[in-house]
Formats: sequence, C-alpha cells, structure tokens
Amino acid sequence: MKIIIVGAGKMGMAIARELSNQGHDITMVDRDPEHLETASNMLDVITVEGNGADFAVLREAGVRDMDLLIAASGQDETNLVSCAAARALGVKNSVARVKDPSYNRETEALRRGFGISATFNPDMEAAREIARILQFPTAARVETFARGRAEMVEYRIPQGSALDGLALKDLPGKLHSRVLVCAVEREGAVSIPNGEFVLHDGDRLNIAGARGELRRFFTAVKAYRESVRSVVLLGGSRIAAYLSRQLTAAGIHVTILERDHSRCEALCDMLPDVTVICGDGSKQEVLLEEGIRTTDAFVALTGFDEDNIIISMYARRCGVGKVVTKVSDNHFVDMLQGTGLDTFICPKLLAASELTRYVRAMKNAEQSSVETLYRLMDNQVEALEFRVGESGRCVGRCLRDLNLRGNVLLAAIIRNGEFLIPGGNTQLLPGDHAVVVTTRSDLQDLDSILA
Amino acid sequence: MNYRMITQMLGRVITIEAALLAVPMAVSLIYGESPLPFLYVMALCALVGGALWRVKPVNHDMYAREGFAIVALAWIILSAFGALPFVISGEIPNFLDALFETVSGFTTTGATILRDVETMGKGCMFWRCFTHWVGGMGVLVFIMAILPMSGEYSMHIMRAEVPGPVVGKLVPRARKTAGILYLIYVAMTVAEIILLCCGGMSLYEAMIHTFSTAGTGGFSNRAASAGGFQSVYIEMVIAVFMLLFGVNFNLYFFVATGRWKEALKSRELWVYLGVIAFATLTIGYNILPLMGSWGQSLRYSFFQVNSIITTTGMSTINYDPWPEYSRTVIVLLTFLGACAGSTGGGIKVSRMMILFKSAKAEIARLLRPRSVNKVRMDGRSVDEKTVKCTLVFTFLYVAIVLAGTLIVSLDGFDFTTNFTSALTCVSNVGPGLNIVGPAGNFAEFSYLSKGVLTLCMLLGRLEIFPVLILFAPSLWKKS
Repeated sequence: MKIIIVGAGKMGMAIARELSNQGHDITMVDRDPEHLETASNMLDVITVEGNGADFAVLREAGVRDMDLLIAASGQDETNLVSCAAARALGVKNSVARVKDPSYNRETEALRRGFGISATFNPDMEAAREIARILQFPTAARVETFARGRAEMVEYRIPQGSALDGLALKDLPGKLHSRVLVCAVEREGAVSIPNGEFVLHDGDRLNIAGARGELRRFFTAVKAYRESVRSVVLLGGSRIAAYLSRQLTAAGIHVTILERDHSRCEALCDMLPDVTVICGDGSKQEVLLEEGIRTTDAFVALTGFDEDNIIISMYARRCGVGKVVTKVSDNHFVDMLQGTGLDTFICPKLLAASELTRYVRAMKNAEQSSVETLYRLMDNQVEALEFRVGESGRCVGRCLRDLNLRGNVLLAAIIRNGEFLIPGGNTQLLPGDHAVVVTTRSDLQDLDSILA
Repeated sequence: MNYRMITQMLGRVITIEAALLAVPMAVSLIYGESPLPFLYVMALCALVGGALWRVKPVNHDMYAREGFAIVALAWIILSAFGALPFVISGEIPNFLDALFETVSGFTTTGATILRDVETMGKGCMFWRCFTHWVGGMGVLVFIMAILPMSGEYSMHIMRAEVPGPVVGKLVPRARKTAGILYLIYVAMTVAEIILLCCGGMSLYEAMIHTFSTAGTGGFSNRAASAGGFQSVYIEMVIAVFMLLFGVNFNLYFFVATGRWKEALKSRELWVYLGVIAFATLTIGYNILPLMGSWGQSLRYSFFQVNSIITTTGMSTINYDPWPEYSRTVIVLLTFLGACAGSTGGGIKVSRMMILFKSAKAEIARLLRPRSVNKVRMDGRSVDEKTVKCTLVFTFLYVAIVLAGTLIVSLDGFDFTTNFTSALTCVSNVGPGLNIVGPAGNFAEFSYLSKGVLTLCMLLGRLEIFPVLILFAPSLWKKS
C-alpha cells in the first residue's frame, strides 16, 4: 500500500518504521530537513520537505495516488487540516493524531467535520494501558480483547514459583483454571509453545483468559495481587491527565507530582478528585514527603526517559509494589533487565501497533478484518483479534480439520461474551471473536491463518 | 472621573423616578387622596433630571470607577427625592426619618421608624412598598433595560448593582440581559399578585405584599405584617414566593430556555434549600412547646426561615419570645442571606460556600505545603481574585456590622438590640430582636443612629464596595 506520513518526529518515525517493515511504500513529509535526513538515513522511505497541510506540498508528494494519509505531527490542528486537504485532493483514507483532551471528547464529530477516517491518540492509549496494569498489578502488561471479555497478560516467572518445571498440558488439571499460555520468551528467543513445553523460572509468558480465570490462575501460583488503591504519578503530562480520569473513576486515589506551577493549576482545574503536588519529583525529599513509601504504585511519566528510569528504580527500592515507567524509546529496556523494573510503556509503539492494525483492516474491509492488534514480547509476537464473518474458509469447520500455518495459535474464542479455549472439536461460528497469537507479521484476515 | 457622563446618568435616574412616582399618584387619585405631594416631587424630579440629562458628555468612557460612582450616587439621590412625598404629605414630617424609611424601602430592608403603619395614607403606603419592588432588581439595571444607551461599558454598572461574587451576562448584550432579568421579575410578580388575590386579598394589598416579597423587602400595611391575614394559604404563597425570589435569577433563565439540568446543577441552590430545610425543621422542633402541634410549628417556622434567609423580614408571628436556639438561628440566617443574583441581601450563600471551601483548601495546604488546591464551584474553579475579594468583602461586612453596633450602642439600649439592628440593616432584613424585633420599630433611636443605620442599609444593598469607594479620595481626582 502507498502511505504518506505527515510529520517525521518521534511518532512519525516509529509509525514509518513499523509500516515500512511490513512492506508498505512510505512517503514522509516534514518541515524540518534534519528530521527528513534522519528518516531517509534510517528507513527505506522517500521524503518531501514542506508543510504537510499545504496543498502544493501534498501534490508534490504525489498524494493523489496514495491509499492512506497519516498525519502524525505534534500539532493537532496541522494534522486535522492536513487530513482535510488530503481528502480534498482525493485520498480516501486519512488518520490524524489528535492529542488535545478537549478535541478528544468528540472524536466522532471531529471525524465527520474534517472527513477523517480515524483519529488516534497515543497518550490516551498509553493511559489506558497503564490503568489496566494498575488494576492487575501481577502482570507487566495487560491487553484486552472483545471489549474486555478476554485479557492477555505478560508475566515473568519468578524464582521458586510453583510454575517452575510444570508442563503446559498439566496446567488445567493442577491449577484448576482455564487459561492458555500463548507465547514464551526464554533467553531472548520467542516461541509458541505446545502442550509438552515445560516452564522454567525466568521465562516470560503471555497468558490469555477471562479476568476471573486469570485471577484464579495467579492465586493458585500465589502471585495474585489486588488492584492498587493509591498511585503517585510523576509528571503532569497529558498521559497523567487521561490516566487520572480513568483511575479516579475506578476508585483509585491519585497524587500527581508536577514541577511547573501553572501546569499544576491547570491539572487542578481539570481533575477535581486528584491531589496535585507542586514539587520537583526528582528530589528525594519531595518524593519521601509526598508518600512514596506508602503508595501502592508509582508511575513515572516525565518527558525524560533517564529521569523516569532512575526515579522508578528509586521507587522500587522504597518498596513500592508496582512501578510503571514511561519511555519514549525502548532501546533502554534491554539494558534494564535485572534492575527490578519490568513494566514499561512506550506511547509511540502503541501508536505504531494501532496504525498497523488500521492498515491491515483497511486492506480487508469486508471480511473478518483485524479488530485489535497488539505487538508483544518486544514486537516479536502479534496478538490479533478477528471478528468472524459470514463466509470464509475457517467458518463452520472443526479446529482439528483446519490446517493452520506454522507459528500460528488460535488462542481464544469469545462467543456471546463468553471466553472459550479452543479444542479440537471447537468450530468457528459467524459473530465469534477469535484471538490469534503468532510470531509472523503478515496476518491480514482470518483466512490467512490457514496454510 | 468622567463627571459629565455621571451627571447625565444621574439625570436619567431622576427622570425615571419622576415616572415611577406617577404610580403612587394614580393610587392616591383612585382612593380620593390628594395627589399633590407626588405631583410636586414629580415636577421637581422632571425639572432637575431633565436639566442634568441635557449635560452632554465630552466622551462616553465609563470604567469600573465610574460604574461604582454612578450606582452609589444614584441610590443616594433616588432615596433623597423619594423621601420627599412623605415629608410633603406630612406622613413622616422629619426628612431624616423619611430618608430612613425610603432607603429602607429601596434597599429592600423593610426596617421602619413608623410606630403605627396602619394610619398611613394609601398613596404613601403604596409608594413605600413600591420602592421595594424598584430596589429589588436594581434601578440602574432597570434603566439599562429600557433606555437606549451604549452597552460598551454597561457591565461595570451591572457588576456594581447586581449582588453576588461574580456577575455574568445571560446573553451577549448587557441590555438584553437586563431586560430578561426584569421580564422574569415582572412575570413572577404578576403570578404572586394573582395567587394572593385568589386567597381573598384585595388587589391593593396583594400588590403591596407582592412588592414586598419580590424585592425581599418586608414592608406591610398591617401592624402584624403578613400574619394579619390569619390565612395559611396567604402565608404559604408569600413564603414560597420569598423562597423563589431568593434564588439566583439566572437559574430561572436557564429553566425558561429549557436548560433544566444546568439550573439543577447549581450547588448554591441545593445548599440554599438545604439550609432552609434544616432551619425550618430545627426551629419547628424548638418552638413545638409554644405552638402545640407540628402543623402550627412548621407553619410559623417555614414562613419565618424563608422570610429571614431571603432577607425579606416579614413576619406572621412575633418571634422575639421564641426560645434562644430559634433566635440564634434567625440571627445566623440574617448573616447568611439568599443566593447571589437574587433580590435578597446578606453575605450570600455562594460567598459562604467559597469561604468554607477556601478554608478547607487552606487546611489542605497546611498539611501538604506543596499541594495545589483550588476552590471549585459548580465544577469550575473560582479564580484567586474572586476568592480574595470574597474574603475582603466578608471581613468588611462583619466590620461594618460591628462599627454600626458600636455607634448605635451610644443610645443606651441592650446589646442584642444594638447588634441585631446594625446586622439587620446591613443584611437588608428589617426586623432584629428585642426593641427592633418584629413587633417593634426603629423610632426610638437617635438621629445619629438612624443616620448610621441608613448608611448601613445602603452599604448592604450595594454590597459595600460601591458606597465605600465614594469615600476614597483618589476616586474624585481628575485623571
């Protein structure tokens, strides 16, 4: 597919890398020649210099032949105008990054008004992800499928766990819970395990199940922890604002530490139920006085990865049960193994997954298209949710009769809101939601799971 | 200061007063009394007002201080001319007494120096109560609504005259906003007159009592006030309308334009109703031994609580002999007053809410020195300036009550009398306790006290700052 990306900043680059790796032809537009230079050096893309909302620039970039325009610059208004311009120039699909909370209140109206196909908001996605983790602190990641009917959590087996030495086929009998281990990472290698696979401590697992079953599973291995009750957020960014709304709605007490006084006042206006503290969270005495020792969870959300990482490590040492660290680049993550930090959030990667899903779904608008797509285990595994259509090669056949491709696992079926672990006799019926886990990265629709 | 502009505005005010005086004159004619006192004053007003109106301002600039000065001076001049018919007709021979009575009328206080109200002529009585109605919504807001004038600076006038910590417009044009406020006011007034007539009141008395209720003033032509009718229906109609006139008029605008939800979201309204319910029930319980039954008890406590909280000051019974708890609640309600943007006086419920909330925020700040707290009302944060202004306002309010008490105490009455007389005048309620209780009056006071109390009433009605600013020397400097 031919895709034009407006804005070659961090966000634009992450999206471009992802989509380029998946074989799409990318044109990048940016006002800053330096950004474009970096882009053309690092990625296999073509670049055009200029304002992405300028008709002439878009024409020069050959927008007429494009299948999709992604406006990912840092300015909402530029993105919206850019999409509207693309529309006027005959591009059928356009996606805009919209980060202002007040615009996000009415995205539907915004879409209609500007003729945009979809909007995306990495900050809000990040906030959602963090909120899910804080309500299920056992996991390092929590992804949801079928509007929360099914969840997939990431969990690293600690030393001395009951899971150590257990074969996967014995799990249901021993632990009395219907969950499925979909992917395992051991010493950097990711595989999709079969029933004979034996777990070891240090393995990183992706486990799918309904919320209740997952709770039962982790309770059985004595790893379950209740949702946090109080959380300290470091940095009053937009993510903090979105996150605070979701957490206070769930009854979790939120304290925000923010350095800038006028930002504090703005947060105070927006979030009446949140305790806003004006102070420098990189100072030890501030953290101690504002209760880092007594909080259930700590989320580092400043704009500086280094600050976030160091303060997160300190929070861990103070005994905070759950520490979430926001990083804008995931190249630190590998370096941080063994530091006790396990939960990282990278907004631009979330956005890249979101757009990958959108592009795959676009190719295949009618039948069994991708509903949700998550990239797990450092992007080595994809978990996709499909809605099963009326027709298709999989529909109505028993699973044992389906010839699945290698490295593809049909992990779960959600039928009428109920979570099922597929067995040999299970059939896929129209209206089902199917969750597929794979190490491949080319699944477009449900039929493509078949060999 | 734009003196010419102020002079011209005052000219308009005096001319309007001439027109207003036509109403009691007509009443005098209908009841066969001499219309001459009103006619003389009308002629005088028309002459003076017309002359001042002809002053052509060099420029039309009007800023906050001109707005304050116009409002304060207009109210003083209005009262001075308004007092003349009482003097000329001989109903209140002394000008200072008449001024007290007229200021009490325009400021919707309802405190009286008359020993026997029932002997007053019908024309003068009508004028006395009509001043309540005019003063309730504000004279300058009225002028804004009916006279064509440049709207550019009119918010300064509205802000100075409409009570409450924050005054906003309902519609983009100030003139239309003023018109809408008066429309609501007139509609509710007509409704009450009709309902009172249905209860068997004569049209004349229905009008007099409605004017008193609408302006939350409290004058009555009966010595026993609203209690003189011995009718539960009339008492309840008046009580409910007092309550309604004590609500922020903006809410009625929301209701009229179908924005029910917005109106019901007002926290001030709920606190106001909550206070009324609490005070009614506890006073009702407190006076139960005196009344004998819950029915009678609630009848009197409901009326009295509404009458005091809205700062009307009518009564259906002499509550002076009530138990100390009830008397204390009545004094506290006198302090509190009604909602902002209503015709009532007092400190106002919303200001009290801001004060309590800022106290809470201050305590939170003491416990966590780095925490940022904001005072919120109806889901929005109140800006720092408004909070500060509210604090200063409340301080001045209390200071003026205390200063008033001090001066009045020179007359040698007991403390309760002195304190409640100053408080009731600043809060524009009318009756206090003991000598100035619902069965008493202000006739006993010396002219010094009457003068101070007159000033107190003006300070209270105009919410202190406009009147106080008149005493600031820098106001009068040419700039």
